[in-house]
Amino acid sequence: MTSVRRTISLPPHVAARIERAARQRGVSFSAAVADLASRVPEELPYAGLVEDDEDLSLRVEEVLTRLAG
Amino acid sequence: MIVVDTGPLVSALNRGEGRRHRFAAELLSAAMTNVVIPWPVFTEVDLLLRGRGHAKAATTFEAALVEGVHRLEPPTSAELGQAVALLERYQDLGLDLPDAVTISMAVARGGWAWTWDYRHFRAVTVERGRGVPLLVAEDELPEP
Repeated sequence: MTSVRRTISLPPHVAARIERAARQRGVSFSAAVADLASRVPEELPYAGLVEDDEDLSLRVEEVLTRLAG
Repeated sequence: MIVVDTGPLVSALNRGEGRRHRFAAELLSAAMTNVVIPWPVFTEVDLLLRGRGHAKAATTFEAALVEGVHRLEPPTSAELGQAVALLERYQDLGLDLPDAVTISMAVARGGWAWTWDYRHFRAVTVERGRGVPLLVAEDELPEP
């Protein structure tokens, strides 16, 4: 797997916790951070972007027909 | 694999749909790259959003697909052929291209079709008279 290099700043107590966890698991600091980040659920970037009628998704054809007319 | 129709995507975008919005957003968020968006569905979502004055949301949705959040895919020639056959067979029902392509892609790929358009999807039969495999049954559709 390819990796990209990033420089990040962390509060000292957070960095210390990650260092401790990395030592316990015998992995590098970077690997521990990557593992933690991979567990964060991905967010849906388009979720909830609009506020529209509560039945819009059930009336797609009707709305499109009206728009076309 | 889930082949999604327009309705659930609109629900995920539209927070005005309350519980239906949260249900769709959570399911799409959990499935991410296991979700296939057929091209005709993609254009229908775009037309609807822009037609309702949500151009910025449409662009954000499209950018998410460019980034690979879900899989935006055209039907294969065989899937398009099957979709056209369905359009001919169910002409009186008012089946449209996004519906027919969603059904044909889900069936051909052994996946689930995810729609809110139960009137059309329930009426269609595919191989050997079997119904379309639906991810969410009509009685599971959340009210807002």
